[in-house]
This record gives sequence, C-alpha cells and structure tokens, in this order.
Amino acid sequence: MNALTEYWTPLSNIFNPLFPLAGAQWEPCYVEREESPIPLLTLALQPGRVSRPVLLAGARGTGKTSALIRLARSLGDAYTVIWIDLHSSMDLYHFSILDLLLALGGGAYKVAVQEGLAPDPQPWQDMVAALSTLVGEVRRQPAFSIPADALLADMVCARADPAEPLPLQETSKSQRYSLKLVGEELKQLLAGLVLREMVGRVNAIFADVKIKGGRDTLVIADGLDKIEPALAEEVFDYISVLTGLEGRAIYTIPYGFYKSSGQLREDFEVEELPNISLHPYREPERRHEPGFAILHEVARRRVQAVGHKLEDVIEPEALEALIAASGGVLRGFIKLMRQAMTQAEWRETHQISANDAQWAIGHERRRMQGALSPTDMEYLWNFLKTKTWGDEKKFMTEVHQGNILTYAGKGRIWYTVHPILVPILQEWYEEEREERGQK
Amino acid sequence: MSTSSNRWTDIYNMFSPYWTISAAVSESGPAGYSAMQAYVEHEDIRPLEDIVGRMRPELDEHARAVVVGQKGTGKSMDLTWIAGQLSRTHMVLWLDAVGLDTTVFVNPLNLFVAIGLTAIQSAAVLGVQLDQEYVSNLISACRGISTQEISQKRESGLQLDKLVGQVGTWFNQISLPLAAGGAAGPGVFMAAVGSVFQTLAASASFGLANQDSQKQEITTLPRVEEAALRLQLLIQKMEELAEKPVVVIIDGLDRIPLTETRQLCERARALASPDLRLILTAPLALYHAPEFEHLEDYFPHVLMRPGVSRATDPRNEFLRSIIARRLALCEVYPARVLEPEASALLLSASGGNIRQLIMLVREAILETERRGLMRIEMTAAESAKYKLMVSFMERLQRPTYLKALQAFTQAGSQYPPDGEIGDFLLGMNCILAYRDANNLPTYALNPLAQTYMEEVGLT
Repeated sequence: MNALTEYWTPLSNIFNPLFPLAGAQWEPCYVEREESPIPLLTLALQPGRVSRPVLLAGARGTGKTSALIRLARSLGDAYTVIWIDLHSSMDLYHFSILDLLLALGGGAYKVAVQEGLAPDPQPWQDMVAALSTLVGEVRRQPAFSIPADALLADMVCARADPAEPLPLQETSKSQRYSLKLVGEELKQLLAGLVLREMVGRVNAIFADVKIKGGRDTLVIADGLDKIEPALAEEVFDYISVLTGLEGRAIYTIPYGFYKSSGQLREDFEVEELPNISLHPYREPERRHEPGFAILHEVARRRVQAVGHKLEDVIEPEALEALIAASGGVLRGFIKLMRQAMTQAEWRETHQISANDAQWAIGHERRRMQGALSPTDMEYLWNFLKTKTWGDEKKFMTEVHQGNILTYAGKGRIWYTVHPILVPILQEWYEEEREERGQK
Repeated sequence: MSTSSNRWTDIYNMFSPYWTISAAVSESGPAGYSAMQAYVEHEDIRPLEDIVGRMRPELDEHARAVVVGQKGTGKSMDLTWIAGQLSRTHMVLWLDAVGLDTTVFVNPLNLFVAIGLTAIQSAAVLGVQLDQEYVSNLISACRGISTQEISQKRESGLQLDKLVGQVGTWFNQISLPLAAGGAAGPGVFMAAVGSVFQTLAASASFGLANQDSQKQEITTLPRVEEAALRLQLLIQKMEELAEKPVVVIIDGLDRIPLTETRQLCERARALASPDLRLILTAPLALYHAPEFEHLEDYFPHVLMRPGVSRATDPRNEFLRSIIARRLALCEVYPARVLEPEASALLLSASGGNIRQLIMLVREAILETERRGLMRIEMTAAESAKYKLMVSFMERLQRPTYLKALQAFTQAGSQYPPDGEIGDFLLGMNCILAYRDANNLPTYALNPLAQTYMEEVGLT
C-alpha cells in the first residue's frame, strides 16, 4: 500500500455509509442533533416508568441506527439490551408478523447465550417446535421444521455494549430466513390463536432472559423499516400483538406506514427521527446554521477519530458544498464525503478540493437520476413548484426512495425535493417545455 | 437513578395517558394506585345520575344506554362512576375491549358469549354455583347459527372449561368508590373481552363469525333470538343466585375499527334482543350517522360526553383539578412543580380533552427533566405543545384533510365534514366536540390543529 492509500484508507473506512457507528468508533464520532427524540425517549424508558412499546420512524439514512445505539448505551446499565438487526437477519422480502415474533424470540435467546447468561433453551425450542407444527399443518407438510440452529447462527443480534462493536450488517448472506408464509396459509394461521400463542412463547424466552440477566429486557428491533412498502401493510396490520410482549421494546417502522396509520398512536409511543434541516421552514434561500454545524461536526469528529484535522482533509468550500448537497440526510452526507475522498485519492492529493466535491455531487446526482422515470420527474417537478402531494401513495414512495426529504422543527414538519435533484428537474422542465413548443 | 429522577418518575407515571380502569387487567398506570384515585368528578354529574336512575331494579323495562364521545373525553371514567354507583344495588359485569385486534370480529353473537362467560366467571368469584349448562346452551345456540346457517363445517366437542379458564386469566374483581370520596364499593366483575373473543376464535368447535361473508349474514338471522334467549336465561339465573339485578357494561367499543362499530349499530336490534340492562360506549364519529339513529331506537338513553368547552379559560377548575389530583397522589403541591403560565398554556393547548391534557403534562415533565429543572416552566410547556402538534400535523398533512378542515372553519365550524374524512378527523381528535349553552353539540378545531392551520395560512 502506498503512502497515499495509507492516508485515505482509514478515512474512507470511517465514512462508510453502510456501517452505522458502533463499538469504539461510536463514542468519539456520535453527534447529538436538534430535533432528536432520543434524549426524551431515554428518559421515558427509565426503569419504573409507565411506557408502551416504541415505534421509531424516519426516512432512509436519517441515522436511526446510530441514534438507537445512543439509546441502548444510555440504558445499557438498566436493562439487558437485545439488539436485533432484522434487515441482516431475516428475509424481509417474504416477511410476516410470525417471522418477526420468531426473530424476537431467537434474538433474545442468542443474545443471552452470547452474554453468558446460560438461558434455558427449552422456551426457544418449544417456540420453534410449535411454529413448525402449525406451519406444517397449514402446508400439509407434517415434516416441516424450522432450521433453528441455522437461523440462530445467521441472526445478527447483540447486546449493545460500549466495549464491543455491534456486528451490524457484517454478514453478507445470500439466503436470509423467513417462513415464507403468504396468502391463504398466512390467513389461516393468523385467524386463530397462533399470534397470541407465539406472543406467549416469546414472553417465556424474555422472562428467562430477565431472570438470568437480573434485569428487565429492552428489545431493539432495527431494520424493520426496510421492509418493502407493499409488504409493510400486511405485517403492520397485526403489529398491535407486539403490545402483548413483556419488557421494553423499540421497533423501527417504514416512514410511509407511520404517516398513514393514526391508529398506531393508540397502542404505541411513536417517535420520528427527521433529517437535519439545513434551511428554516419555508425559507429555502436562508441557511439554518445549526444544521450545517451538526454535519460539520460529524465530519470533524470522524476525521479526528482517525488522527487527522478536518481542514487538512477537506477544503472549507468543498465541505460546505457537500453538506448543502446532502439535504441534511446523514447517510447521504457520509456517502458524498466518501465519494469525494475517492476522487481526491484518484487525483493523488491529500485534500478534498471544491472540484472533488462537485465530482462527488455529480456522481450521486447521476445515480439518483438513473432511478427516475419521466413520471417521477413530472411528479417531483410539480411538487417542487406547488408543494402539493397529489397522489398520496406516490408521495410516500418518493419519500421512501429519498427523492423527497422530510424535516421537523419547532412543531412543524415540512418536505422538500432532494436538493441534488433540483438541477436535473429544471433541465427536464426546460426540455419538456421546448419539446411542447416545437409540437 | 438520581433522587430527582425518582421524583419525576413518580409524577411521570401519574400522567400516563394509558391509565384507565382497565389497569386491573393490563398494566398501564403507576404501580400501587387505582385509576379511580385519580378520578375527578365531572362538573355536570346529572347525565351520569340519569343513567344510574334508568337502571333501577324497580323499573319494569330493562334500560339500555350509550355513552358516546371522542377519545380522551373520559368515557371510561364516567362508566366507572356509573359502575361504582350501581355496584351498591346491582351486580355489574364489565367487558372491556382491551386486547381486541384485527383477528377478532365484534358482533352481537360474540358479545353474548363473552357476557355469558364473564357471568359464569363472576359467579365463581362470588362462590355462587351457576350451572355451566347455561353457558354451553348459549354457545351451542351461537355455534348452531354459525355452523348450520353459514355452512361452517366444524367438529363438535366444545371445550367449555378451557374457554371459561381463558376468561379467568383475563378477569378481575375490582372495587370502585361509590362516589367521590366515598367508601369502596362491593365490586365490579371485569373481563378483557378481546381475549375472550380470541379464545373463541381459536376454538375449533365454535364457528366464530370472522370471515367477511359471515360478518354480513350472521346477525340478520332469526335464530339470533334463540341465542339472545339463552343469554337472558343465564342472566336471570345469575340474578336469582346473586339476589341482585345484573347490569352489563361494554367499554372500548370506540377503540375497535369504525366499520365494525357501525355494523354493530346496524345490528342494534339483535344486540338488544336479550332482556338485560346494558350500557355501551360508542365513538363520536357515529353520532350523526344513520346507524346511530338505528342504535338509539334500541338504546334510547344517550350520553354524549363532550370536551370541556372552557379549556381556554385559565380558571377552568375541572381541568386544573385533574392535574392537581394526580400530583396530590405523589404528595406534590401543583405550584411546586408547575408554573402558572405553563399550566395555563397546557390547559389551553389541551382543547378540553382530558387525555390530551395528560399527554401534554407528561411531555412537559420529560422536557423539564431533560433540562435538569425541578419545575415545569413555559419553555417546557411550549416544547410539549410543539411535540404534540407535530403528531397532529402528521395527520393533517394530506391535502384532502387540509381542504376538509379549511372548509370546516370557513363554514363556521357548525358540523364536522361528512363521510370518511369527517370520521377520520373526529376519530383522530383533529376536530373536537363540545356542548353549547343550549346543550347542543358544537365542533371546533383542536387547538393544536388550529395553530398549525394558522401557521400554514389555511384559516
């Protein structure tokens, strides 16, 4: 490895958008932000406080995982924290509420084993056996059996512990498990008492972990927000069964589903982690300095964590450009930083220049543009100009895909088209207008 | 946890929005306290006294009543007051919709069976020997309807013991105060009806009407009368043995999907078939619906529980006393933890809705604790208001709702919008219901929604 590569490699690694902050990196790199629900949520979940299960919503890349690690660390002394990364553990493309209960039971058991709590394997084995029998019955496959050992081995879960990194997304499995229950099979199972029975079985596992750990359990089910919107409705139709689970729990949920379901607020504490606002409400031309400062701090801390000074690594102008282009999407900003680093390394320099930043922005713009159809363009252009949702489903899809960004502050919620897309939309509009004029 | 944190924990738990009388069956409030300890008698108790009066044993006709209101207006607390009063002279069976979920469909037949199962469990608690044959006859009648008339092929072999046992798991006998400050009542028998239904849903021998086709047919059948008669016989036997008239209270029907409540209203005749004293809750969204008129034909005594209309008046003693009562349970004087300006802001932002007020105080407590303060100040109250406002904005962001609310305010807020949009806005408390000086219903935007509408220039 040459000196330049040695210089950029740790920097590039710490700006990896696919890996949330964890382990030793977390402490020096985490930045608390405005409008985060986590500080109050930490207080609300203190032992002895009456609370319902929590649903945490946020569009992609807002930093939910890092925020949940912050919460888990704050409450780690009071609870046996059971962190389950559902996205890495289960097949979310063929997912049902029974898969979720299976993952919760398996995750709790596995974490207890990892923690040396010597949990009783019986409740977990009973759950697997009972669910295997039930699924076998509806499928008319008496020999059907859930591969419990393989499932546990593949499950990505951990106790959030400051001393150890969370093994999030470190496994790349070609086949994640799910019961693959669909249509009539699923309907038949859910019509009876199966859900109630499975909740009871998960509770038996939680109860054992609670006794062995000497503390209540706090389950953090991360990654559930990554479930496809089409499937989300089916899963979340039954989400009220989760209120029957013992102990504390936090589930991440898809942003669109959270927006469309008012009933959830009756059964759950619902919180949202918005993007970092870079402009005041309704003033897109003005800068919201605290928002810029947060992302500036994010960059500074990460660079410092690998032994550098921010001003040595990136020109101030370049940093400003990257922050503005990110639209305040935390993961988007990390990604832009990394792309700009690649460009700087390619130019064989030690500092990201304004040109490198523009290259990274252009690269990301082209990537996002590639995913847009003419219909998307038209919808986004209209939204940009009128701020009206039009078709609600379409709006939620655009939010889900990150083309429309969501912000909150001082009792307000607002939406804007991702700033990186604005030049493309303007070009599209000009071309459309010309074309129509010619006709 | 620090001492300061412990102190806030006690207060925080007192302001649990989930704390209801059902706390007996589902942990939702501070440990060691009953929801009735936080109960504040409503300003106008006469409508409640009227319902109690209608249930008098000397009246020949068995009365049926409905308490209708929005979420958070204190319906369950009103029912608790009624139950407490009635428990002096009646045996009160209380069924709560807690535990209901989408796997369970609520129809008269299911309710009959749930009442029967609750009755037999109550008898056991009282030490009264009620022959299980009464319940098995009732279930057989219901099963007959679902298996024969709707061609549901199920094996016979009802496991009554299992069903009764399951009810027992979700059953409590609770004591209620007879009146504010009064002595504890002799007891109300409470069951979580959702769990009973789920038990039935799982019973291979009971053709519970959960399929869509069955939902439509089941209660239009003449044989419902037979099931009603079986229930009536059971209740009569219960009254004989207990030497008291029985009153059945079904709470939480406003928490099930509106379409199901609507269907239940359409089947009011079937629901009223058994000759028994029955009090139901219903969501306000149905109040102006044709189905509700149908319900009123059979449940003629209607109590519409509105929000407290003088919420913006800082002297509003009722809402203040709700806060004061809960703080008193923690032995805290309100002025020590709540600044007067902050209190006024929270009261006005509540729109007179009790649960909204409790949620606001709860959020303000967390914010105060986060700031390391010992007293809720204006900034914490404002922060709580903003937090709740965000949740309203999430509901109001859709153009259709915004347009409906704009039209509602422009029309002088006389009536809520018709149809599904109106149902949604009332169901989500975006529009709040009140009573005017002539005791007629009036409607207004929730103050949190109002602030938002003003900010976006839609009022």
